[in-house]
Amino acid sequence: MEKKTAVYICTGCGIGDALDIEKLGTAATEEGSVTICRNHNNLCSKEGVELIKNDIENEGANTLIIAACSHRVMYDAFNFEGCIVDRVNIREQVVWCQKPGDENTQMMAEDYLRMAMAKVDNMELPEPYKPEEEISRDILVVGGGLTGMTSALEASKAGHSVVLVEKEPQLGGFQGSVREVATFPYKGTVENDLEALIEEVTKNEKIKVYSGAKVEKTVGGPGVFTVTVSQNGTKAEHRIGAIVLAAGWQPYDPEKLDEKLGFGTSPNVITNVMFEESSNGGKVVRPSDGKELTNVAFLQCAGQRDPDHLPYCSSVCCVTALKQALQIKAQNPDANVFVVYKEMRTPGQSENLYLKAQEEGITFIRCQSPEVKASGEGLAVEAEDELLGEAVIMEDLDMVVLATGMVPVSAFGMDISKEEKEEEEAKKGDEDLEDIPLDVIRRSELLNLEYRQGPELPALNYDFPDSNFICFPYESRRTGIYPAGCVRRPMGIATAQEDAAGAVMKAIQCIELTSQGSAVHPRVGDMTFPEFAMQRCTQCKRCTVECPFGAINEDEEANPLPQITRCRRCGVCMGACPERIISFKNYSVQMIGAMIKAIDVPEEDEEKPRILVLACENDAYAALDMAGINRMNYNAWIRVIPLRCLGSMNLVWIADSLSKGIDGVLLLGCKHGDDYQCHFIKGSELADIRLSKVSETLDRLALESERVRFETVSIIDYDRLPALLDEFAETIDEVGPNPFKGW
Amino acid sequence: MANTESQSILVVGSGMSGLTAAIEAAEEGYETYIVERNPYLGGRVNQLHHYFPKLCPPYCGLEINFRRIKQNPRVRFFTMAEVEKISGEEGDFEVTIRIAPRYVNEKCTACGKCAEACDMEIENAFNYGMDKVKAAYLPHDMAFPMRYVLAPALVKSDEAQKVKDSCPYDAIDLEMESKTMELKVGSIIWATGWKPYDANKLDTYGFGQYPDVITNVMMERLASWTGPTQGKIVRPSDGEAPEKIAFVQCAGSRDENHLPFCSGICCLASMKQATYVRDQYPDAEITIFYIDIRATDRLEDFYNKVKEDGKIRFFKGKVAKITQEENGKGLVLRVEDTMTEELREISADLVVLATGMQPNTSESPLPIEVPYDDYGFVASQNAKPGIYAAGCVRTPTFVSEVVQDGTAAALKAIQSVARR
Amino acid sequence: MGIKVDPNLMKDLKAFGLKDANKCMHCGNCTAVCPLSTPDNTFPRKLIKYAQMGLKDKVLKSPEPWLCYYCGDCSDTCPRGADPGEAMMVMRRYLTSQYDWTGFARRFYTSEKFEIIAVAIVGILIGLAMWIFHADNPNMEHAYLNSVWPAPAIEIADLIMAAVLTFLLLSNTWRCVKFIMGDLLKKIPLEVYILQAKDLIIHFLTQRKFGECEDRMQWIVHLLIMTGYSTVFLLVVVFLAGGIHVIGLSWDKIMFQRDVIYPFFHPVRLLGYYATFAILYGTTYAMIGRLKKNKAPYKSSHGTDWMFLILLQLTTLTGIFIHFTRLLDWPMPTYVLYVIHLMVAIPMLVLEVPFAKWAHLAFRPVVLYLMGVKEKYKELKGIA
Repeated sequence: MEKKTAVYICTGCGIGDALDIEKLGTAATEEGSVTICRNHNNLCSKEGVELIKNDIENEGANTLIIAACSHRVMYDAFNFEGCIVDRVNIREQVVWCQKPGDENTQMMAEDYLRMAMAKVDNMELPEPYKPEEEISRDILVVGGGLTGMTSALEASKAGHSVVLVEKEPQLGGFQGSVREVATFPYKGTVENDLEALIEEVTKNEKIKVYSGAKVEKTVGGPGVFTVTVSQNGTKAEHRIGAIVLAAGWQPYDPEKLDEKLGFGTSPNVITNVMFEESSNGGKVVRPSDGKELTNVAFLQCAGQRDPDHLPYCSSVCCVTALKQALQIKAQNPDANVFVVYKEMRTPGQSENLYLKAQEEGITFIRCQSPEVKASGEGLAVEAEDELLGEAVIMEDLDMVVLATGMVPVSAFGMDISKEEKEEEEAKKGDEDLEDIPLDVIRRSELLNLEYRQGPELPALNYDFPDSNFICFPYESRRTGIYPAGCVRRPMGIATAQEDAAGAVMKAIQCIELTSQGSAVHPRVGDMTFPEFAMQRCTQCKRCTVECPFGAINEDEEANPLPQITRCRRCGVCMGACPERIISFKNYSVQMIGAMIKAIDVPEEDEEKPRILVLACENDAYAALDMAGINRMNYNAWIRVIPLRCLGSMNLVWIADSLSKGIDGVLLLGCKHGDDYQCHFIKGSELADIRLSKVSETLDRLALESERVRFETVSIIDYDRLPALLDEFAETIDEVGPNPFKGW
Repeated sequence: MANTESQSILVVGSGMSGLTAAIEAAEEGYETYIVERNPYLGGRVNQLHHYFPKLCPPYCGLEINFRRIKQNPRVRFFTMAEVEKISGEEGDFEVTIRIAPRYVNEKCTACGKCAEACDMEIENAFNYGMDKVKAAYLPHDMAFPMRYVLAPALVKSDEAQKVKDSCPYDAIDLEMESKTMELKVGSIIWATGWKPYDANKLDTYGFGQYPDVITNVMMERLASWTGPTQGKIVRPSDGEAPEKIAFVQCAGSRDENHLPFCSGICCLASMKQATYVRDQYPDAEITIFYIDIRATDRLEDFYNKVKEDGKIRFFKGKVAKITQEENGKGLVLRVEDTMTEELREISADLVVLATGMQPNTSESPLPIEVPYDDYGFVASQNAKPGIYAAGCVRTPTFVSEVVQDGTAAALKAIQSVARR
Repeated sequence: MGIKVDPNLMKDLKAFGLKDANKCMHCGNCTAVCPLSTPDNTFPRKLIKYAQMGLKDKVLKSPEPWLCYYCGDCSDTCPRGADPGEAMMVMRRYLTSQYDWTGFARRFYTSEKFEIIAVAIVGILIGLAMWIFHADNPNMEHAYLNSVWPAPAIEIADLIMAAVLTFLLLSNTWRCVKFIMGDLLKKIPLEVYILQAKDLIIHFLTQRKFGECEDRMQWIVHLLIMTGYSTVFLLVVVFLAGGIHVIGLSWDKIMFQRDVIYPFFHPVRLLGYYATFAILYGTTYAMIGRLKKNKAPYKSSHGTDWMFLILLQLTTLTGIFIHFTRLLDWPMPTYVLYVIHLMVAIPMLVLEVPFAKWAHLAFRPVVLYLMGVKEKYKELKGIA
């Protein structure tokens, strides 16, 4: 497209009073040789927008630079189909945070305008990605338990065909062995109606069920997955749009439990899971001799909330124990039932069930480490009762039920990050790749993804492939694959059913967006995608290793094979690439480079240092806006460039800035580490790692390391941002001017 | 994808569940309408300082969600609006929406001139009345839509004209009146959320009588830089730094005289707030009075982390009475240590009541017949054909589960309209 | 080796009227809200825990049930509706039956049938006895009770009864003391017991601890019934024949059962009026409360609670009627009413004093006194 650039400067909201608009205009018209440059005192008003529309129609303007407020506001007013639009934020980040009428303020505004012009010169309108193959709208559901079956049904109700793969010969999963369930409103137990669900699923012609089967291989990406399902010897291939992983959980191995809990010492010491299995026949009886149960003890947290076993709480065991206790009371009202708990956890309405159990006369004992004493027939539990401060003993027990916890099926199999480490040791090459943190991915044989970065979903912690984001629980680390149910985190049936629906929602949405060529969360609507200039590739593997979403495979020669529908458009690969071969239509190394070059760096004697701030566009940039909204003033030397993610920061920018005479570079990224806040998982961390490598660049240029700094800021840190910026400016001032000025 | 009226979705309430439901449905290609009672979207999380267990700011996720709305023309929203009437049936609902006057129109650029011109001050609802704001105000720093509001009191006053004249963009409309509008939609998601249980009903705790007895939601504002104290946690009575802080769990929750259910989040919320205090006051002594600590799931890790803090003490016992010391300074909590059977009188100079979550449906139910449970929660997600409940109107829970629920509700709504 | 958990105690306590205690989740609110609970004697939660775990021995040793006057604050504020106040009431019934070596109390409390029959039998026996033993020539012109059942004779019966009751009550109280004091009983020197003796009287007369409860009305009502009852007891046992007539120690200026009615302002007559008013007011207040269930203590009523109130009220009413028939000088009605009066009053005394509700009149002050003794002992040991 032949670009015709037009610049519009809004003089409202105090901009006109703080800046010399005439002079600002010349930065565009003279330096930038832009023919159309107009001012308006209220650009976002109907008249203002008309002014722009008019130029689009009559002057053929198609590349619009709007110098006004932040792009975070008035987004609807300045929305022009088919035009390249760039918003220059001279309100929040210039006049609202700088001294009005000051020459430095003027220079800042002019620089931002120059940068914008450089930016649009390097921008093109995006053309949505369309894979050669046709997009499949079918959903693969792995796991035929409650969550899996619910997912399949929900997807079919939304009009999608489903392939359901269950490893066991029959559907049902764990719930298949459950006779009675406790759920809303938790006033008691109700018959488990799983049979009906199984029938509904098997009868549904939109759902193809493979039981006794496994997913042999998954290749491709959202919309274009090819999944190989193997069922007793025979293999079937399916084209799949998106995947719901509902592979469920395994009970914690009771053999591993502390012997104090007495598992194995008597047939009458069983687990909560064994209870369900035995209860399925109908009446629960004493395992050893089938005698009616009159004295039963439930021991909670068996190997749970215990650093030596499962450190977490499985959430559902309290409700399960209450349910099972009530079942025993129901079959024998005179039975003595004891529940020994560490902490009674019945959140929400499930508190009702706790009360119900108390009303039924079940005895509760709070104790951190009960001990089972088995001697032949005799079974007893001794417990230090915290509410009594004394040890109590429950004698002549017919049965002891241990509440063992949930382990996600993704927890089984070798961790490939360890394998890779070994490999690395074996052939210690790629020394500059070694400090890239590797994900925990186990060969758990659930999806068998043919991804360069491993065959399964990366785990968050305790091997749960859950999302790290509180606001976005479905943000798995592999695009188009959504874990649901107890594989994601321990949950009860009500939550699991919801979770199934939620995961399906994301799955069908992923297919829809992929078919439009759009990115998925968090950059929905972004039609750009990374393009690789392969002829310049040196097979350094950085992009394939660093992509947080495993979107890039490799061929034998280690050439990157980007799988675009897996891509989240964060630009981490772009930042990683030392050869600068990766770029987006509206975001590239060249583009940012040009913006940096556009910054006017005054001569040393003018004593006007320049500081480049590369800021995460979601958090740090928004925080800078809010500092402006609060009219907080900060140093006038800084020039901010928002980045999709700090992970897209390419070291060459820092080299460019410094060799151009810019005195300091400040990176504002999100918190990383265990509770990372970066919405592209590793972006800010990778930026930090790269920065640690910048030292050699600095040495080469004989520059002080203080000139470059990484700071983590969150979106609410605007109270401390101005101070932070001023402090950095002072440091730069002390370090003195960059000797490369004016080269 | 066709989007006739009969395929559009109405979402009532724009807290995390409603906001999520609306955006998820829109990103799947459906027309969605959000009806929000506040002048801004986002609901109660706007007023939280941090989320547990990550201690990250809610603004971050909201920024992303608002960006999703900004780039998605399929999401339309009405603020200061409430649903008055629902008639019709699945696929063909007729909804009456009442919109209260904002007195500020879409011309507002949030430049703040009106606030400068305005002298009248009103109680700051965003900070639970702990401070005052100009009667022409921006609800909060990240208010979306970024647009000012005029308090009715101001509009009635003789200051009104002066404020109107101060606006360079003719964005203030004093004639604006409450109006109703009709909307035709195919399905409805009800996500009106919760309110903190009224601490005034806890008569033995002296809330409202002793200024240094506050609630957990107020604590969030005290910890926030946009709060009444710019993020300094101080005693409301004298603005001094607290030395002994008490967190009273189950303040109204798990209590047949108040909210019989467990609100599910208060344990974690108090532990989180304990970390706020710790960050500001390394020497402060913190006591958390509890019945059971309900850190389900991997939240257990957070519990363990907080337990490691030597100055945070977990005290098993429900506080029965809060009284003031004779000298009028400081408070005394009467409580039994149920682990040792000791009756204790423990002094504190700031008490935080962990009040529970009361479903808004318990006081303002749907304008159409749906089943509720004993506590006013909507009994099931499928409240009735074409109408789905999401979030804390179904069960009290934390943000990630609320979002999960909102996402699920979006699918239900889509299934309902996709059939037409 | 720990203490055995025994769910049967809860089942047993149900027979004494326990209903909601198993709902207790041990938040501790009741203990902290109770105005009488002290750091040394925390209650009621502790007792509920003992009950839930079936720790009978601990319950037996516990003085706490007697320290509770059942103001109901704990029950009103209990988040679980576990009604701790009532649990303490049940404990008092249970303990009364445990103190009683005859085993009669247990049956009286645990079976309403037994309770009613027992009352009926005693009543009828009294009726028969009075019909058999009466003077040969009753005065039919004037209502002269002494002409039918001479005071000295009645007095002898009174004294015998008093002796029996006192023996039973004291022997039960002694068991109570042993349970409460355990080994301390002998450890504590006698002088300490004597030192504290005055407390016993004060507690008995003023029920002062009750005054510390939020709801003072309960205390006043309780005080009325108690003083009224004691006064009547005094009048009919000590003053009936103006002293101890058997040993010739009597003064008919203060004789209670006399044929010529005292002038209005005569102390004995005034005392009679006070007692009548006090009991009538107290019992009526309590009965209305129990009917309306308007206060926590009145929400759940055990059979014995009603029996106690009914007998007491009937006794008083018949007493009043007798007073009127005497004023009107109607001989026959007076004599008949007198028989009924005793047929009601005696069962109340015989059954309730040693075996049921009236027993707490002895147990409570004694326990309070013993608590004082313990404290004093600790104090002295502290000094030494």
